[in-house]
Amino acid sequence: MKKKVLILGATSAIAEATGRIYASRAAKLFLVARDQKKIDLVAQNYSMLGASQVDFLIADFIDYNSHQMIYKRAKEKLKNIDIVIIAYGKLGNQNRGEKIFDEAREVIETNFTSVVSLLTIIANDFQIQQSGIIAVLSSPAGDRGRAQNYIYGATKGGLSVFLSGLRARLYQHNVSVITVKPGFVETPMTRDVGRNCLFSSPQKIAKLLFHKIEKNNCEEIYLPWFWKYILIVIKLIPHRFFKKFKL
Amino acid sequence: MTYQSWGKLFNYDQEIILPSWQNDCDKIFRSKYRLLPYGLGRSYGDSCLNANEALVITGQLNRLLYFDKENGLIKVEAGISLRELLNVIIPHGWFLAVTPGTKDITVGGAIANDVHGKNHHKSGTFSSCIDEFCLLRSDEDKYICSRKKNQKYFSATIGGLGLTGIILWAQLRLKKIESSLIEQEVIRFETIDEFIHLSEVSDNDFEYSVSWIDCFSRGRGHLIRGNHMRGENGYSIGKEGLFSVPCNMPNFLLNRCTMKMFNFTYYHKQFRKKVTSLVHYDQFFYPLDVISNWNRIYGTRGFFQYQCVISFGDSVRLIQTILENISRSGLGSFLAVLKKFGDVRSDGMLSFPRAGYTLAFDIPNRGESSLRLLNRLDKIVMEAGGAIYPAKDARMNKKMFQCSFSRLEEFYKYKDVKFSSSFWNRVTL
Repeated sequence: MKKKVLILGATSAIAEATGRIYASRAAKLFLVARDQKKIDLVAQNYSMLGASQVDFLIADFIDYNSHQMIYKRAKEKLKNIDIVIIAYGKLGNQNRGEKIFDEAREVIETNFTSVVSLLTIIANDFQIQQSGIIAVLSSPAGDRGRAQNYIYGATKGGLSVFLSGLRARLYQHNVSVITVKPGFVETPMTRDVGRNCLFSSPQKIAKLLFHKIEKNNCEEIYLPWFWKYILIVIKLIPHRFFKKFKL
Repeated sequence: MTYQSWGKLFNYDQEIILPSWQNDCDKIFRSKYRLLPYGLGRSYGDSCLNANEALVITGQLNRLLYFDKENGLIKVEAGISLRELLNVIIPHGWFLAVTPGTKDITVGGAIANDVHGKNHHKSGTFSSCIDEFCLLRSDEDKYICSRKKNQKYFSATIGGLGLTGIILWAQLRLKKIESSLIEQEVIRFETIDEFIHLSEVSDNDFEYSVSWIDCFSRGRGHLIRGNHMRGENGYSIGKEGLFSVPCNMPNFLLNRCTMKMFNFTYYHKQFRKKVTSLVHYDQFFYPLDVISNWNRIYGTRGFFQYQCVISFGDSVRLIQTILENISRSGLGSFLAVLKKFGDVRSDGMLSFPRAGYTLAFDIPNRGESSLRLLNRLDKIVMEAGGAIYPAKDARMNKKMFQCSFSRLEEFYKYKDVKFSSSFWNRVTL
């Protein structure tokens, strides 16, 4: 059966790679992103890869007023949506954010507030629909605030908590909510982060994510799997030691 | 993530630049380093490496841009792999007019090495698939290159090892097929003379032909030849690699004894002189792709690949001499391939294939003894007026490189100063 997939943040590296897998399986796709040229390229690529239908919309998620319209358009094209993937985010500049609140606010609004706004609309619709999977990209950075990126971490931490509650609410209505926590991924977001052996490619993450969504038997997933254990260790470190780390 | 080449001989410090979109490439020239495009790292030596400089990883520039399903014309970003390309075109009854022995290279890499396949005697090199491509050079200009436009850049870039700029996209002409199956014949031969005779005869009736040869022998092997099956039979794409070598194997695993045994067993696996069968294109063209990461079999020391071409003259004696040298060194390989190249000309200035016989094989890296053997072989090849294939090379010297490519002087004019590679530095400085 052809899956109907809505991808918010469709030109981000992980989203694009994941959408590609759905396209090659003849899915019907609705893509939303900010950049006209990029989304055009992505949509064309998907069509040639075998997507049975590809439509897109240019929108900036910071504009909360556009959210109702975005979802309405997606529903018009896809009818009953099977899967929503929310895959956009902003790393921000931690140093700048510490001094200037506007920088921090932008990260908070992009990663948390705007996502909550969209999820409100999607959740209410899926609740009526009594079906669907919502997969949202959070981050292991949200598991514990580190000196080096606690602004970003806080937005993802807040998001993970929100998703946890949403999961419980929507479970009663046969809707799944998956919190996706990819570790270090080679994308434009991590351009300035020093590369090490823990990095994965967006293609690898996409493959893992696709299979998890297909199986639909998980709640919170770390990709690849070993990040789960890295974070277990990190979370066990007592505060009086953790506060001394310059991580 | 470290970026190596397939032979796993080198571990260089390299700055990594990873564009996600073609427009990102405009910024790469701001780097203080010299650049080299890097696809999937299937070159065996250092032609895809750039020690202490920068690699521009092209893997995310892998989108399809245009596909004319009626006429078999496809335009793609150059970082797309042949594997991804085949998955798209096969179901519509199209194939690559020229394909090398692995799907896990990029279109950019195929152009930069002017790769060849089992049908060189009929169709030439990858050059013959190319309609046009877009080359971004350090003057920040994008050149559309074809046989009619920017011809010199076209010629210099084909086989140009990534040194003329970055190929952003390429338009290819595909080959129509009626089936995913190949009608294959495998014939055992006992001597080089017999191989040469069989090759001559196969060329007329078979589009594809190649031989596996036992390099511990005086020249016995299997000639494999085939044609696309005719008649509408539907199309199916190959499966993902079935096995994977999970980690580097112990260094003692591949030694003279085990390889000799493998070769003996492999030669005798076919009882009859000639066996005809129908095989899937994946098995015929890409037998090694079944085993992902097969290069790990050679362990942490890695291995050398050596591919030479010698012209038709004194071939029997030369091939035998080369085989004798390999055999005597105790460093033989079980992946030795012998093929007749035709005289279809390539557009590339540094194109390797030319009329004659080509022999390709791996040898484990045993340090000095491996290098000594390959240097001896270089002498034989040089005296015969032959050439070595840069895509496979990790150690040829300046003189050998100059002797291999008569258009090298011309190529210098079109190489981009902002681009470099460890291979280029080794063979030109």
